[in-house]
Amino acid sequence: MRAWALVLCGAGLLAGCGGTIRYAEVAEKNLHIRIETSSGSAFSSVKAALGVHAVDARCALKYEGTVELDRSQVEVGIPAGRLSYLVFEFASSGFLAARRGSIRHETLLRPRAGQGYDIRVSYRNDIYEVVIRERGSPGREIGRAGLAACISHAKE
Amino acid sequence: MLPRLAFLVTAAALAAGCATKAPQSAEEFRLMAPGAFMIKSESYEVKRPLREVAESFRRRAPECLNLTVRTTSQTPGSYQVLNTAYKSTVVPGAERAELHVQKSDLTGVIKVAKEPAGGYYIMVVDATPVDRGRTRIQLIGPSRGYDVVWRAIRGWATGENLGCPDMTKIG
Repeated sequence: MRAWALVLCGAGLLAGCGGTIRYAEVAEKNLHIRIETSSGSAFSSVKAALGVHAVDARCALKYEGTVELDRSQVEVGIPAGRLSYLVFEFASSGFLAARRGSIRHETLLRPRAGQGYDIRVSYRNDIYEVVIRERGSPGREIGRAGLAACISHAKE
Repeated sequence: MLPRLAFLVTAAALAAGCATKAPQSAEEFRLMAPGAFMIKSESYEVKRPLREVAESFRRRAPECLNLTVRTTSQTPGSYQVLNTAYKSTVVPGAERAELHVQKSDLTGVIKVAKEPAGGYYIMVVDATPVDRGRTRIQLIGPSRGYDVVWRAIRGWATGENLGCPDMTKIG
């Protein structure tokens, strides 16, 4: 029995499941993400990913999964009418210096039912930006809101 | 690379006579900077009024520069983890807008001088009006390793790029 547990655990790790799980999306793709990444150097690389967390009434986070932002456009469905905590992560690594680091842009988002959101994610020459806009004309920009905003709202 | 740079910075601080006293305020940093080792000053004009430049600093600095970053560096025979906290302060004003950046190493670095609240001052930016439509930007900060921050601040000042610097690329 213990051997089977070890085998399953090892298989899970080999499958890349050690701490990161693939996000199980909802059917309606309400996030339309456009991605531009370039490390600006042949000796380094950068990878972008989106981590999705559910936020409960006490502002506690529950990790739900990660979407790799490895194409120029990615569509993601997250639950409407519910607060989610989105973590855009840029992980960079260098070939020669073996130096690694990751930087995050985190924000709360409560998508409205039936509403789409355009998200521009860029990382160029070590400068990154995440801009979220509600779809429509002209498209309202959604400001960044950290967990502190949730906590202060929950206290009211 | 990182240990060597940390050694250089420490040596620079010692050479600059900072072993017992690091600048405890932005004003002390301005006074210390001229001629200090590994510190440079840069100034340029942007075609935006001071009010808009100050607004860019106010919007972008807290979001981009108030954070803790973790980097790992691995070379044959060494593995280093650094946790560094950065803090920015924006001081708006009718005649001058200021942006201060402070840094505090949480792990991996021995502090040789008294650290002010919020961390050592590493960069001070002053924006002053040239006329109604132009602003002069004066930056004082490290001459090496902080290129990404210098570029980001220029982007905020000109309004051409409001992105955040990847603070893991410092050093």
